[in-house]
Amino acid sequence: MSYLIQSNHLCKKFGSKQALTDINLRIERGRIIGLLGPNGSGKSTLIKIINGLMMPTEGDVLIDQKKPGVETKKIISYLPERTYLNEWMRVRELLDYFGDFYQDFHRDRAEVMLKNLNIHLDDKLKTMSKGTKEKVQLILVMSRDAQIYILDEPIGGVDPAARDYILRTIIGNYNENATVLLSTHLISDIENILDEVIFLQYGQIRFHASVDEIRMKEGKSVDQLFREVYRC
Amino acid sequence: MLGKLIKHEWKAVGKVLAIMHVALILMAVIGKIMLSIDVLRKAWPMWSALLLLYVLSVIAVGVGTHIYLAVRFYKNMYTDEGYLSFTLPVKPWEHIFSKTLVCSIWIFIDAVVIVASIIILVMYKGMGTEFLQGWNELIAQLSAESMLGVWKVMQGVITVVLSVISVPLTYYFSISIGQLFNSHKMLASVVTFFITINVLQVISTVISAVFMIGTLEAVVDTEGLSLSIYDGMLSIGMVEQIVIVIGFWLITNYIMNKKLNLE
Repeated sequence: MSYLIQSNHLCKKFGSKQALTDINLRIERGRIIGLLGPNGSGKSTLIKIINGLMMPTEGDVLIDQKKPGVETKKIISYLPERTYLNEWMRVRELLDYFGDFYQDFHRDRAEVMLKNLNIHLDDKLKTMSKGTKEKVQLILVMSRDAQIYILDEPIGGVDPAARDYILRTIIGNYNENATVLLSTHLISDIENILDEVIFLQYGQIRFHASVDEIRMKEGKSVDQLFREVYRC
Repeated sequence: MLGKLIKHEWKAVGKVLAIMHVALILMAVIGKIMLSIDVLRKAWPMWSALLLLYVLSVIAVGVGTHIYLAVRFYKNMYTDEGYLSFTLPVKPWEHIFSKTLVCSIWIFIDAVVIVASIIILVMYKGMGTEFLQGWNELIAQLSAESMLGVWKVMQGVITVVLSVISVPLTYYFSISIGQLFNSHKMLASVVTFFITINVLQVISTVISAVFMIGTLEAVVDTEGLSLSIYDGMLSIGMVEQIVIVIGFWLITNYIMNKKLNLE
């Protein structure tokens, strides 16, 4: 069986610091997966390698059986944990930009969401608050018909009301063949939308299980388990 | 996709650069008008101040254009914006190509605008005909000494075009080398840049010197000496530019493909 995302003995070192150690991931289609772990556990590093923004030191990662490159970038919609948009652009220009480069981008979908959140097409990013910028970015990313959505801390910087809207947006927008990989440390907020969780610690996979399994076997919520695993 | 990258690159840098260059032309025109007013022309503190302001503006626009384009590359590829640039479904060489093209065009426009502004400022009646006369004489002289010919003119043009293209590639090469450092990447880029241009200068000087000495020994008659030096230097210049352009292109592309590590 072929996996949507598969990594083999993936390692990443920064100088002498081991950021990821022997990561062997198997991710299927049609799942919402939480990538959980404390700060510095390697979440963002793993995500960047999957997106081709960072090269692994050892091992490899395959997306739909291909190494990161033009073909994988066509099917991954990625939301980084920072603002990656040019400050001087207007929302309208951003829509043009995404429309030009991503064939799976649905402009109409983006415009509806922007309207719902009261963001105008002629607004410049520079004049927006940090939270609004994050919303714009998430809308752009979720308006693609991608096969993989990788969202790095998508709800960290926005208010709870927007957080709800964003989560509904994520669930409402992805099709059943697509997989959502979502990194966060706000677990209780997203627990009930997850199918699986991956716990990272010190650059290693602590465990990877379905949420039902955790509830059945351990008799705990993911949040409880997280607190136990990572107790300081 | 390449076309779209070029389009968006052009749009992204065009506004600021266009404003800068239009402003410079306007300054030259205003300066010219002021100089044509008798009272002002005779008040030397006035026009010397004006001249100083103009010279400073030329430097600002010239240097500013280069810095702006280099910073644009750095920001768009290796800072937060790189997260978008490098997740677009395009190959790294397409980024390098589109940015090199747009940057080269602007460096060319920049040079033309600066020359044009100087011409506007010093313009006088009959300058056009005098220039044409001078130009014709120059051509005649060059042809007489058989320094012109289709291939030689082409060599000259190719060298000039390549030396324009090599400018952004030198920036991209230096900035990309800087990314290989674990910290102080910006500083590393700047240091790389200055080391690079100095090393290139030394290599070029050494090659020229070796060539000159070789030619002086080989050529017996003084008649053909200047011509063979001229021919040789033309070829050397072209080969040097070809090597620089290809080398910097390949290294930048390699770093983007194999060594990318966005923080």
